[in-house]
Amino acid sequence: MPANPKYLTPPGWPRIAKISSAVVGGFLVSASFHLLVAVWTGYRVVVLLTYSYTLFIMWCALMLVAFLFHSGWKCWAWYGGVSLLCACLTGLRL
Amino acid sequence: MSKRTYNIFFHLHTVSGIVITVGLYVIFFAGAFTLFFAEIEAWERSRERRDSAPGIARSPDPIDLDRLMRELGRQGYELYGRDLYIDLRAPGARQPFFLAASKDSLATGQAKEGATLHLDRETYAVTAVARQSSATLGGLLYELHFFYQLGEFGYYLSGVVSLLFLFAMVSGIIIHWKKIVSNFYLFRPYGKLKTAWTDAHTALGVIGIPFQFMYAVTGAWFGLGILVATSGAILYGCDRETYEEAMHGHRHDDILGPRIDLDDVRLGSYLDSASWKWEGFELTFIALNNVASQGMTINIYGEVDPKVSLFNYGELEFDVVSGRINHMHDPYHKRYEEVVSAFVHRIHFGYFGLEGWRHTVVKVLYFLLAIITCFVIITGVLIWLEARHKNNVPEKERKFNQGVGYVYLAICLSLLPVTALAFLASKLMPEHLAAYGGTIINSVFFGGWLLASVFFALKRNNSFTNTYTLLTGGILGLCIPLANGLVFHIIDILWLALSVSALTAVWLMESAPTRARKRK
Repeated sequence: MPANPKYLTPPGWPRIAKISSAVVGGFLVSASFHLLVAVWTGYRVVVLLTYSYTLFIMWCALMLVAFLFHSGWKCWAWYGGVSLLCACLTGLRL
Repeated sequence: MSKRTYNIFFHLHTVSGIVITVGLYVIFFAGAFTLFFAEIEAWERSRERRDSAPGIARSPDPIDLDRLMRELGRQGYELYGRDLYIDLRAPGARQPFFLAASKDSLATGQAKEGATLHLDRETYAVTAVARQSSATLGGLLYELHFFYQLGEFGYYLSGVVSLLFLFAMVSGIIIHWKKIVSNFYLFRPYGKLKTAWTDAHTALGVIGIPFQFMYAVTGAWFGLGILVATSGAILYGCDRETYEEAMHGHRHDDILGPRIDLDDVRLGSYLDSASWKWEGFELTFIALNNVASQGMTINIYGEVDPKVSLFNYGELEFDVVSGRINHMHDPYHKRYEEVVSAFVHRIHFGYFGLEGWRHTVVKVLYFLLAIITCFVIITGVLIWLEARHKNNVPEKERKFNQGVGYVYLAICLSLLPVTALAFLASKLMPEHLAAYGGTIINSVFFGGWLLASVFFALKRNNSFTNTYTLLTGGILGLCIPLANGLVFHIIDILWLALSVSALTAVWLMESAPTRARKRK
């Protein structure tokens, strides 16, 4: 029953890239997205309080999605790009 | 779902589950007992409580704060810059309260240290509680529940375990999704070991989904809340104080103003106005901040009838010098912002404003679900082991996996007999050793746990570990009500039920092979 290794990420740099993009990248996307919603909707306190639990749910979903990417670097490009975009748009309203 | 997706998620579920096994098991096991924290504390104290006239309930009059302040001043307590907390729900004739260390950098003597004191509700005599190890078994299990024996690190670690638990849970649901209904009705206890464990793992896992999802999220909420606060504070110029004030309406600057004379203020009038503020408002807790300084505040907490709403608590904060209300929470009207934190606390602690037997029923349900989760964790490890117990797995890897299995099961399963032993030790401890109670309980619990884990790990037989931990746990557990003199406090009943189930399980396990043979 163990998973077939041909579908899994090989050890070494590809795996490090994959895991780091899932954990760090996933957090950055989730956090920056919530901050973006908080500043642009005008309901800053409400969104930030909701963020205290939705951060983890969204983070978890993004971690799962990260492992579906064929390459960790590609995932880093997406997650890094999206969080950078969210961070910049948040910065505009600060 | 494509073959690739299935295999990836399957692997993620396996790896994340195996990594957090021991931590998660400890969290759920200790957490199950922590639901009964107040009951365990009362159970441990029951001996001394019987000595000190149990008939005296708490007086209906609210506490006379001004008299307490005068009494403290008369006894030479320097109050300037200190905080004082009074939990009005404490039972018995003596009202305990806590006097925190002074925030004044020039403070001297006893003002530099916090102190727990007792106030006699009748005579207003104040006595210091002897400085003894405050560690109790209830406290030990509560701290173990988030690894606080390791300090702050343990707290964050428990948050990481929660997050990985959420991850393992969601990936588990995804891979099980197609068979979630059909396999729910499938149970083959007499088939191959792996199918028996798989059926138990998936069926009980599915039953526990809402409960486990709630605990995974709220656990992360507590343990990793620092990530939320640090990133959220970015919107407030990276200032945590301003952020906290915006979120919770509290701002406690530790900058003390000039000294004021406590005789000039009437603290009692604040209690009166709080009591009259809302209909049926019963005071539960009082916090005084920055006592005897210009910035002194008084926070008064209370509750109305829980039938009114789930969030039946209220709070008033007064600036003591000016008499101004700094902020308040109306027990009858709550906005979303006011209840997020309260909601997380309530579902995590299983407190829904119910009292008496209704509250107990909720806690028993939570307890059962927590134990079921422990079972799902253990069967997960057993499936992992059994799936790798094949000839095509390299010998070295097989040995390693087996070793991990022995150690994991030894650490997790020996918790039951060790906890029972610690309960016995706390009850059978001779009176003259009470001053060392904390040390004794800690040594029995952690020493026993270490010895039992090493013993069972070296025994290298999972079936032996399982049988003998349940057997010793059951027997020791049965002794607990006996040691307590058959008074059948709720904790005794809990142990009675646990022990009987454990012994029944042992009996069923022992007779299962013969029955299986008979059926053939």
